[in-house]
Amino acid sequence: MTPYVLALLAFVLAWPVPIVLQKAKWPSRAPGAALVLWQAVGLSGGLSLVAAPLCWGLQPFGTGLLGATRELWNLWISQGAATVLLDPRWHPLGLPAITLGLLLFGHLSLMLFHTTFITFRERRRHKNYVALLAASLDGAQGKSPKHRSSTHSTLVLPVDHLLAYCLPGINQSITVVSQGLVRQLSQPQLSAVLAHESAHLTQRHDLLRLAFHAWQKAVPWLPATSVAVHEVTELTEILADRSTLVHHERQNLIAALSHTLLANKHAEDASETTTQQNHRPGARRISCLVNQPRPLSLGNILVVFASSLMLVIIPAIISIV
Amino acid sequence: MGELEQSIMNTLWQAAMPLTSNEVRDRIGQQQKSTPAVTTVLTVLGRLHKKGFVIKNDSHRPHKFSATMTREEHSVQLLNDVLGSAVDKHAVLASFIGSIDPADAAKVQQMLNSKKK
Repeated sequence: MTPYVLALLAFVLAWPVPIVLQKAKWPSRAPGAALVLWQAVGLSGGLSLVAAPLCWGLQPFGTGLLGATRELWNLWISQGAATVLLDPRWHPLGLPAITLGLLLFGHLSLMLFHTTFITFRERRRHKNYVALLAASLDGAQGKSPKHRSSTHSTLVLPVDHLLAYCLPGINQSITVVSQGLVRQLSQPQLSAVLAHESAHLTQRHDLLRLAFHAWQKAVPWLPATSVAVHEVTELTEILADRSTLVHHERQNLIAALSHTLLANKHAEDASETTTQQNHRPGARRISCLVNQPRPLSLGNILVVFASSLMLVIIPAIISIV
Repeated sequence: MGELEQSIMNTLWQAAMPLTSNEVRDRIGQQQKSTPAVTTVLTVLGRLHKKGFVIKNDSHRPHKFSATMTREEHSVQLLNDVLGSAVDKHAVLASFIGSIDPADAAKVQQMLNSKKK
């Protein structure tokens, strides 16, 4: 039964569940809890996908991966590899199934390492570009440089485009804004932007996003992985907005967003680039900023956390034991 | 060290011709209060070379250095990273506008105005 339950779980988590989550309204009211659930969906989906063929192949040797592996190990130790491979209990497709499981595990792990490596390399390349063109924010605003954190600095690019973004790093993170932005926004609006980017860095949203980007790279033909990347990215933006609103006025954040979007729209119109998404990206974030949905009740949040935990623990237990 | 990298690149961009490390040092010294040591300049030039920003012409001594791309080309590369349609853009950097469609700019402005009332 176990391998079939795992396969069904992998299927459900790969297809209908992400679609349902994307359409749901409650993640706007509890973005942090929603992010935890998304991570559970990703982790559980991956584990189930790998465990299903492994469990199926090892069924003749014991219940669960632990029991079956122990049995095979004892056989190997006492009677050698050949006996293990030629054991009459193997189903004809048993070894191919195990190979499939191991290949899937290898593919997912390698894609995670590969995506991490590429992302860090691209960030470093971009940081090198920024380092040569940018000046410190204080200098650009005509202020004398105050003591800045050695782990986080804010730099200004001498370009007219309205730009604001952050580049996370292991030791050194930077927030980058453009001269155009500094000129266009009022001081409170600029402060709100910087607070938003700072929230991304302190909450390490880059690491959350990285896992889902890797997942998408590993299984690009599955629409759910693109849905997951988009949803997780948007939820981290909502969380960063929330952090910003603790100390900054909502008006300032919205105004800064509006200015930047308008400028980017002109740039997009001019260059004729188009986004390739089917649905309106960012709709959830705009809605959260402007409509301020009331938070989810504590009880419901606990349900989300409990579901996330169950999603990961149950397949882990039934496959191992 | 980042400031010296900037100074050296600015010098090479302004000169728009290959310079020796001594010439780079002298030009920096003219523009700033302190003149860096030529060994320091060489070290940083080496680093910039490794990053792909400087070409070294070592066909005859003294070796000459020049920028691989102009400041404008540098800017274009940078802007392409941020504003371009690279698939991995959201993985590499977290843009303030995130994945909001710029076409929604008017909508956001409208909502802002209606909330003010």
